[in-house]
Amino acid sequence: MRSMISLASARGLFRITSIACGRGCVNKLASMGIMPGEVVRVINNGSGPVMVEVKGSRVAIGRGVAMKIYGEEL
Amino acid sequence: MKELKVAIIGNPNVGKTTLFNALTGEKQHVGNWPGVTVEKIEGYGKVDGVRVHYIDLPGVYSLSAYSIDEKIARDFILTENPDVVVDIVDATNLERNLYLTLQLLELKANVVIALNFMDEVEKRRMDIDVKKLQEFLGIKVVPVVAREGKGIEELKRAILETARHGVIRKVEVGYGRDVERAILEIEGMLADERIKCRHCPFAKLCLGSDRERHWVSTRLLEGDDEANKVVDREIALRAMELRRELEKKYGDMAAYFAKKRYELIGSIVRQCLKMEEMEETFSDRMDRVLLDKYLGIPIFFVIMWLAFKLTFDVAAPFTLLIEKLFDELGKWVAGSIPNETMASLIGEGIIGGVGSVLVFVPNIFLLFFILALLEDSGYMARAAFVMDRVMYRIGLHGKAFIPMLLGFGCNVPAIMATRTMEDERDRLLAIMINPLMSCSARLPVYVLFAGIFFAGKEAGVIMSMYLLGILLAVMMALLLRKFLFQGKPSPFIMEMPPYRLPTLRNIVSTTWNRGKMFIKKAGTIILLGVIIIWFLANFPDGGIEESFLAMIGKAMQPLFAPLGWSWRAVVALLAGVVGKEIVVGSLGALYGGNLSSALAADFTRVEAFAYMAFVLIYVPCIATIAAIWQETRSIKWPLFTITYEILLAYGVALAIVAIGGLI
Repeated sequence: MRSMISLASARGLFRITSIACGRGCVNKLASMGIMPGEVVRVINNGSGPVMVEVKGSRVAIGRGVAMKIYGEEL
Repeated sequence: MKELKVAIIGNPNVGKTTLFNALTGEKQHVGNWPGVTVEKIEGYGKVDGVRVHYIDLPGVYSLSAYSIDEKIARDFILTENPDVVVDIVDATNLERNLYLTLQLLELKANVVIALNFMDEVEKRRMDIDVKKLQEFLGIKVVPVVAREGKGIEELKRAILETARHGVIRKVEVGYGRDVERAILEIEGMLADERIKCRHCPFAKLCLGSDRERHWVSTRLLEGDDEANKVVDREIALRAMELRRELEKKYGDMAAYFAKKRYELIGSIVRQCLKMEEMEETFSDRMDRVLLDKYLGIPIFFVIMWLAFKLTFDVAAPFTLLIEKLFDELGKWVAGSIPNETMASLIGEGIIGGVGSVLVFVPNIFLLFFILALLEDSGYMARAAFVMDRVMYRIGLHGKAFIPMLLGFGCNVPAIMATRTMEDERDRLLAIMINPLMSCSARLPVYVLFAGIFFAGKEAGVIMSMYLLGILLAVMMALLLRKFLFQGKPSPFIMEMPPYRLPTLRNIVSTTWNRGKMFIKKAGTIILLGVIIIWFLANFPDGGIEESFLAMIGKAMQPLFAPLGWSWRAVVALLAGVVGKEIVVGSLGALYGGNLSSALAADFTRVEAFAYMAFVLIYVPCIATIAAIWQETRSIKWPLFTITYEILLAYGVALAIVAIGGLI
């Protein structure tokens, strides 16, 4: 089911299908390995930013952006 | 062989500076370029009798140039053409780190990889086949442990060899037929000599060699604004057309290019890296608590409170000791110089003035020590994490939080730390409010006044100054967002470094490097300041009431009459523009004798509190003004900051006096 990473549960895996947060933002995310097709592990998802593990590093993504990263929980 | 130019680059937090120090040894010379956006650290070393000029570039994830840091790094490699680029790669995080490596290779730079943290690789039961990695990438890969200086000699040899013979083999990323055809078309246009690259700092790129044209073409198709700016409009438009076409088929081009790079990296890493399935790490467990939905913010405040408590409690005995020392020294010197004027100049003016500032050395060093501890352990980034939502509400970017914390130490490095922010308006806003974060130079004023007027409640009163600064910063942020920098903060995307046990050596050297500026200031600008004040206070006549200083002070005093301050207090404020520590030094010189009782007689409690608030807010010191100017590259912003701060300071002080009068 299509969902947003901001709604993903902590400790779960999430497959990204599309990102719609503007060119600069998409580019920046991509350089850190966060892009469509990628499976990331959600480490922390509380009320602030969402923290994911991607390609061996941990990246915090602000809630505003996280709501524009679509995909599905695995 | 001539002198070699070697750039050091890498992702943030991979031990770049540690390696830089290991390569340059003791002889390093640290230099800042004023004016332009450039902030590189340089040093010299020697390999086999060849002099090597090392340039340490800011930490970056890619060469896309979204933040100023990235731009500095990219421009350097493009325009300065270093002989060798040492790319430091965090071996525990190979995949993400190799992204930058691949971009460097696409630039056809002579890259040597320093594979750092090899000791941790073993600890984590990972295994990297260095030889294979070297083969796949076609460049030299040298395992190092920068902290312990392991592998440095091998690295030096690899640098020299690469400088002599270039890379082993050139690696190309395959972007697929359609995209490569588009790249070729733009390359052709760039090569066409009819098209001139006007206003172009990279003019030689566009008309230059194949490698440079290839790189610019790639960037154009990725939709890089910077690349768009440097090429002819005709080319930029055609590139945009091509990009649109490709995006219909392949989706966002930026993501497409990144994906292709990561595909290549993935295939390399799969063959060179063996690792066991990662269990939950120590960092993850720490984060579960420290970043908890409910506990995160309270924990942060407890840590801050502890930090401040430590700063004051541990410093107290040392402060007393230094105070006594200077007191005795002043008396002894004054007593042993026969000439009365000279005795006054040296004893009261110089030793008294400079001494009253140096008293705060313990506080300031402790503050820097704690800030370094927070930075090194990895908690600083978490503070930005937990505060992001609050920051967003007041219109600030989450990353602005770290500069705000650093501002408690000194606003100058704090303002420089805003460089990691991508959006220009976010960054300007963060710079404008930073001087309201009460720096360590203001602390002496609070300590002095709180001790005299609020005995027994010093800690609370001093804390209230810090809180007032934060409150005003929030207010200003809201106002500026509303009227000057409309819109919302840009997206928050930030790597969270793993928690690391800070090494004492690192912390001590950071503390010393930042703290020594304060001592240096005391020996130079503050010394000069107190000598001038002493001179103005003792001439033309000798009596302070008829001195030059009195003339200046009395001329300005009416402006401050509503606040109830004497001309002496006003003059000290004027001197404090140089550096706020000087306020205390000048008060010492102006009142002479027993400063505490003199001040107690000259101020009421309310007036004293208003004075403290005024010192907090009014005009940033000269160094901060210069930093704002340098970082914004416009005289407009420092002038704006000065104006709003003076008005705000006067308004707040007046409000305090008015409200205090009612109570």
